Amino acid sequence: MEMAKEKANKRKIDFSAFANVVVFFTLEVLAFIAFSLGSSYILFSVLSFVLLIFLILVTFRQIKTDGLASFGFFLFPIFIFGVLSALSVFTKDPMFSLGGNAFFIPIGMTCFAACGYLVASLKSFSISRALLVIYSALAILTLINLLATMVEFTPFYTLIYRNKFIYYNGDISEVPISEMAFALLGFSVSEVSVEYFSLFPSLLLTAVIPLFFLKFKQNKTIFMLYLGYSLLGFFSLLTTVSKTTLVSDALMFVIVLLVLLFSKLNWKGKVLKIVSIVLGSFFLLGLIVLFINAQEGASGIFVTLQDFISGNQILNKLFNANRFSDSYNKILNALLTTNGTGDFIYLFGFYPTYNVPASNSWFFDNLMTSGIFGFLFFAAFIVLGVRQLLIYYRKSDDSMKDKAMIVALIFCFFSYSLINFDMTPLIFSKTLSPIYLSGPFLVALFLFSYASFKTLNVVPAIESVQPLLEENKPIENKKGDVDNETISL
Amino acid sequence: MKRFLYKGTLLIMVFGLTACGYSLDELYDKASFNSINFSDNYYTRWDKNISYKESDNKITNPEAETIYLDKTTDHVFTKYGEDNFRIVEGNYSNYVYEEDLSEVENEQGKLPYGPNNDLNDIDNSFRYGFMSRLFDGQLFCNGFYERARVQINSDGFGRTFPKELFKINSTTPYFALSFKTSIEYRRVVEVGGQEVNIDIAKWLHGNSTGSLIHFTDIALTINFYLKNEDGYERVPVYYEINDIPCNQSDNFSRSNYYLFGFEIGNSVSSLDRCAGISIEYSYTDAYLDDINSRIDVIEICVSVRIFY
Repeated sequence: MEMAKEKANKRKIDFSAFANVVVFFTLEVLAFIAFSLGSSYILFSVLSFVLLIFLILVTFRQIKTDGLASFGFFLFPIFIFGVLSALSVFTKDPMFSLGGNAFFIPIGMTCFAACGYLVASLKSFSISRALLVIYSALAILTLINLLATMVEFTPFYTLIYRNKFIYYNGDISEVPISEMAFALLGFSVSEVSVEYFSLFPSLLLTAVIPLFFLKFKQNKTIFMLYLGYSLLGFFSLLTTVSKTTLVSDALMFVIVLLVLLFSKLNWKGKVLKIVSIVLGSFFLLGLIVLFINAQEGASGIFVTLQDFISGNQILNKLFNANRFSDSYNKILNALLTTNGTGDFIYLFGFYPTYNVPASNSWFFDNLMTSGIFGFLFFAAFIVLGVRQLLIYYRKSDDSMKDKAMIVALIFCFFSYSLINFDMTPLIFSKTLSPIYLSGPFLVALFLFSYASFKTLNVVPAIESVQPLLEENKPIENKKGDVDNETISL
Repeated sequence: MKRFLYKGTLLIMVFGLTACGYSLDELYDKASFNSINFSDNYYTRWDKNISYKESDNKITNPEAETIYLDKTTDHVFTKYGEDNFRIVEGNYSNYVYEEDLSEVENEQGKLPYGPNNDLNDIDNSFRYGFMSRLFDGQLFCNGFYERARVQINSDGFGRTFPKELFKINSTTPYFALSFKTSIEYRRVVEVGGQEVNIDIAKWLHGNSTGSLIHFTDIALTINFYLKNEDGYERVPVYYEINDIPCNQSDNFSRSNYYLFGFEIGNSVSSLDRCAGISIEYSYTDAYLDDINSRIDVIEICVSVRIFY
């Protein structure tokens, strides 16, 4: 009898009582990574690993194993992508920012993604607060970067000083100051490309979304914060607007508008499916044509297609004669390059060179950084992730505000990075820092995993854990519902 | 809402005020200081605070007495291999004085002198601006003709530093300046709406081969500006070097470069808090005097090294 009692007591000793502490720790790590402090991926990895251990201790008794298996299937491609990236030829480049510590690549991304899933199972975790933390971190970083840039330059310097250069270390700079900005990297402010600088304010633009769901009178503080964040993002982009970022700025506006349109009109079913399929098909078709068109020295139907494209003014402009396609074509062409014995030499990644430079697009740069197989696993993860995200958007019981924000943040990050992600952000250094080492990427993985949990676990989460605050009770998902949020973290 | 608008306007004004434009002070075109006309490549900037010939400056001792350096007591050197240089440079034999673009030691285990003694590596602030060419450790022009590092006419230049210099170790402090001289050898003029490239030597001698090789005497005036509470204390230093090879622009032989320098601590007692420098020169050149009516430009190609 006593033995049974002891056993019962032993069973009661679990770590779930520390859920609130772990949730707080999660928010701290989330803020730290969203802030991208120094792009210190090793630190991010260590923090993610420690956080994951805590989350496992807190949740392992309650979490559903069937959901876990499905999540494991979801996480598998990103883990393999991380492993292949670590083993890639690319990481042997002396300028690779992780140096000989490439093995951290799969650890960081897998652990932090898993954190997103596990923390979602805790009742005390509020996605509204997590989003507020993410946006606050992004806003602080953007503010620091903007102030640093304005102190050194002046508003609209990108337009005023388009062909002006500075001397650095005895040489004239490679790019004019209109392509430079200043950003906080680690504990010092450095010259970075405008593309890198603009990433953070571009993401902040999505802070406009909650303004369409919150009522000012009921949520003054939150409303004002998000309004301030979105204005900060807009102001940053406006004062540093340049030819380089104009396309991405426009794209960000379109995505935010589309997400707002879909969420406000509550288009979840057929319209969403049709739009997804149409956009996906266009993208796939464009990619196939781009690949065929990029192959130099090809024959047969490839040449016919290439001739047709170069003979058509619009298609030629689209696939050949623009600043984006040139670098994409070089990478796609390099992919099938063979050596004297007919072996493909670039299948497992390669260094950026003068002839085949980085393309400023994660999609094509992944072929360089992680090889063709890494690219395929990453593509599989993105497809699975977007699918989960859309299911989450349609079916989750989260408020529409949060769902729209998550969708917009992820879409904006990957869309921006599709055309303007600078792998060498420092102006006076060639340090290589691919997308998988960036803070916003890890945040996107976290949100993907959160959405995955919400998709795989439609039943209300664990009962045993005490909510952090009274207001964290499950919110009914009603059309036009408004959050009563406070910021008492 | 009104309060927010006011605050927003205030915030925008704050951003406006922060737009100091510190990095806009020195902006250049891509091909700056690389004109085919030598006379277009002179670096002539004088910072207002140390412009001692103008009245509106911050020099606290306008009547500063010029220090005439003494070859023996100040250990003045004008050549790389000179004894005085060996005396002041404690690591003389550990350096190689030909390679100047890499910091890595050569096969004999010797380090390139310039790149291992440059200010740019000591403090990042010296990496910015055209003056960074003087601080990057490259001692030789390493290029042809107009690709000189810093080219000055006799009025020279005067610039303040982003930070002050101090003696921080027990080794003998000295100042060094690497340079070579040349008179104008080529000029592009517009004749009938078309640009014509004139080879001065050929034009001067009236035949297909011509040379401007000769010797000249240079008198250097280097002012150091030591920061104090009210502005800058000017420390003018003067030294004459005779029979300098002029227009011997063989870029692959660095024998015609001069390394001028002197020990600090004797006539120049200290350069602590040095926060600016100006370099000017005058010349005595019989060869040039002879052709001066037709050629009116002389330039000096310098690569300054400051060790302190």
